[in-house]
Amino acid sequence: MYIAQIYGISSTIYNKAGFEKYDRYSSQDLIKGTLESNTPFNLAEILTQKKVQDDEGHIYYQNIFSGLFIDAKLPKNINSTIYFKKDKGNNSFLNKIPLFNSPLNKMKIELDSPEFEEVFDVFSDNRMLTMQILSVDIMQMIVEFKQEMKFDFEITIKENDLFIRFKCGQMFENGNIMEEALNKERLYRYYKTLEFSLKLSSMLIRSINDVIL
Amino acid sequence: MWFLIGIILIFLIIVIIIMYNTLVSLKRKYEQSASGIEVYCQQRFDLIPNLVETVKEYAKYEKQTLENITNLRAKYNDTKDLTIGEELNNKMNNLIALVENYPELKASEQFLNLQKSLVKTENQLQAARRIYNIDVTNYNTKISVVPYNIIAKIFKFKPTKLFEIEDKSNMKNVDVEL
Repeated sequence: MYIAQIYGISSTIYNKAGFEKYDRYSSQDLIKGTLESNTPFNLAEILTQKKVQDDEGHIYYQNIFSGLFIDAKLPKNINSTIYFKKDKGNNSFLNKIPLFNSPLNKMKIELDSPEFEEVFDVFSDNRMLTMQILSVDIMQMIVEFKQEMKFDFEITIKENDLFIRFKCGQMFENGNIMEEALNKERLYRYYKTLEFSLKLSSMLIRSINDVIL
Repeated sequence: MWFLIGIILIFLIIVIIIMYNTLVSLKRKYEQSASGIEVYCQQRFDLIPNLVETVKEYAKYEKQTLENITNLRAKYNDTKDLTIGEELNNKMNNLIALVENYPELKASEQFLNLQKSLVKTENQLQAARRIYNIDVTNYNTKISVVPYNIIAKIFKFKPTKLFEIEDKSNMKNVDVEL
């Protein structure tokens, strides 16, 4: 693993993960590496913003997402898409009526872990594959990380790409890097996020390798 | 007065129809999941003759176990009963765990080739089992809560058993003296 500080991750790769639309995109502090099975792994800080106009006609940019983004190439193509999104509690009566149900909600997968379902909604076009990949161990690890770190994160597995983004804000802001690098709490969060990302990616790769021969 | 009673009756009939249809669709859903289990059980059990042949060559002392599995597979093929499928899969898993006692068998090319298929079918069956159990749990819960329990009683919707597979971590390797 090495740090390629000059660059970030391109918006083309970020867009593939299917997150929300934005007007402004910036990325920095790219870290590159390889996981097991020679899987390429990229991590960078991302900031996305949307254009907002106030009553007086002034235009300014509002943050949509600020945090870490990970992109790993999977050794095998799952020929499907699986989204893990923050549970928005869309279980209202209206959502059960087909007319009011969004196309994404129709893809919602019911899981066998109430703790996991409290944190995430999982959407996929392939229920069987999702259940095969999303083992009980993986769900438990995700829940434990969420409980410890508190910040939100989302995962997308699309064909042979794995994307994870953590809404943790900028870990190290420009200007006072020395001060922040010495902040133990911040460093611990950064380390735990990296450790979790590597572990989760490896577990998912192993799981996908077992599922797709 | 009669008009009001009529409206209440119509409302009640509509509610009963909606509740009945909900129960029917939940039942259909778990039945569909059950057919998924059947498919993956079949794929997994199709590996039994190959597994038996491979184990027989290296583990002659397991004759009784192999015979039991072969008989159970024949029984499953005749009946397609999920309870038998459950038992057969657990016995198959025990046999695979037993392989640990035979290093030569474990390292044999024949077994290594078979192992990939065994892992794949095991994963598929585990996933199908989880899907089935989610659907059965939803159905069982629905027919036991008010007011669905009343409709379930009238139309004879009965609770269904979950499909259990022994946790591999709970399986003990059987020590065999050679």
